[in-house]
Amino acid sequence: MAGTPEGSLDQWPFEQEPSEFDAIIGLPLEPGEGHPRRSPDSQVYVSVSGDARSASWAMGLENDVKLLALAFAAGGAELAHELTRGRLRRSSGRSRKPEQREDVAVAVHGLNLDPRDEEELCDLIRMLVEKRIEDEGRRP
Amino acid sequence: MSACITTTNLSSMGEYPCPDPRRMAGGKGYNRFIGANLARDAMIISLKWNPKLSGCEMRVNLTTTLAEPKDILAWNFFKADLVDRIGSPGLGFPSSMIIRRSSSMGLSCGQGADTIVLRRRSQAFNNWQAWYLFTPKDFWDFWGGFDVTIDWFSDTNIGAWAGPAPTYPIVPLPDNTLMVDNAGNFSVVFGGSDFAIPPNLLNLIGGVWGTSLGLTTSFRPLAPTPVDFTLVQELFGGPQYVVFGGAGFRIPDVATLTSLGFNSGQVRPLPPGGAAKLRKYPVDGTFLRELTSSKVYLAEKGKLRLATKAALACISPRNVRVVPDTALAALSKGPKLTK
Repeated sequence: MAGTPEGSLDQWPFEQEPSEFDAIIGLPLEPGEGHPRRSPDSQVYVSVSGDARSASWAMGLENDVKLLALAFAAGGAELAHELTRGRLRRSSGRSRKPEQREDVAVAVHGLNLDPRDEEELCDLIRMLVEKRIEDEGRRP
Repeated sequence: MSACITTTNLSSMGEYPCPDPRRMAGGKGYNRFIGANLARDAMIISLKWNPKLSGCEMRVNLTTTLAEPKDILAWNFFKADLVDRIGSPGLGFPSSMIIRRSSSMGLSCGQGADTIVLRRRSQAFNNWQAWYLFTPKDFWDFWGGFDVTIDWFSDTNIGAWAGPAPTYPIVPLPDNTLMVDNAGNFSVVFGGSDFAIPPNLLNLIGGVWGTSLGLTTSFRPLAPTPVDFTLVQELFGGPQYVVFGGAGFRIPDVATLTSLGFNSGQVRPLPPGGAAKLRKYPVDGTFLRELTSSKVYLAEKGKLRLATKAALACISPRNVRVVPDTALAALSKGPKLTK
């Protein structure tokens, strides 16, 4: 089936033939492949929701946040700050009136950070959002 | 303006894609039938567009007769916890739930669901295992507004963890495939649908479609109309159409074709009379807007319903199909879509 993953049908679990489905999710396991295991720390999922979902300043935000989170996981606050040096600053967004600021809620799960690092990461994410909004405001 | 930003590693292993029902060829309307061949389990997922639901809502049903308990959690990333749950008979949970997209419809960050998580109760280890989930953005963009019925029929499967994203369009046979039925009638496939070839064109198959009678495959029933984004034009000078929701929208000139993001190399030549197979009205659940207009319409029961601002919040731009200006003028208009 074009557009659908292909693989061995040795382990095909369905009574129906593949052609009887409109699409297939998942692949049969190739002989000898074994169940692949990934380290739980090897992936960080970033979700951006709320009104931001449709805002242009949020385009690609997931990638930036993911990079920050991975930097924290790999090298702590030091590495994250090194990555963002010169790009983010504490004053980001403070020039705007409070009513103009966005309500940015951040929840960090699954990174196994200590509380101080977690708070630091949340601060960096908020600064990142403020910076993106400011930059968008400057664009013609 | 509010934003909810969350990190989680919940999905590190068991994340599977959500194929877009609007971009796969299939049967009636947007009803689709998906085989899910997961790491330890297998299920059949039926999608049926539900006109009573907005794109920020979804009905999830679980059916299973397997002895080992199964459940499906509506999962919120911000809370890192469930917000609703359905399960196997005997678990004490319902078998159906209506879930809402997280942070939509006025919900706060910790309300609503980002995705669903499918689990099975291991008797041997006395814990919940599997933790399959669906790619959250696609889950809502593509399956929002649908009834999603999961028939979990096997828990002895051996498949791979996670799964590659589908490539579109998802069609059972590629373009230019020639089919022949038992009576010797030939047809050619475009956009996952078949078009009859008149006998007087058989000698020209090579020149027109770049294939030969020696490369035919046996006839099989295909979708009644081509999949979204198929471009067609009847041989001998018929108009060009772009197909959305099974309906053909006439493209008046090359400039419009280009403005819509297409090029002439993508236009498939249909046998004479082939365009008659295209619908006049798109199937229910198709979202449309004209090229230079921001008005979005939903096709439902042969009418176009203008989406209000409130309704637009729950319509993913990924589902809105852009047609040439004035292409919607002749279609009947129905009541406004308010949610």
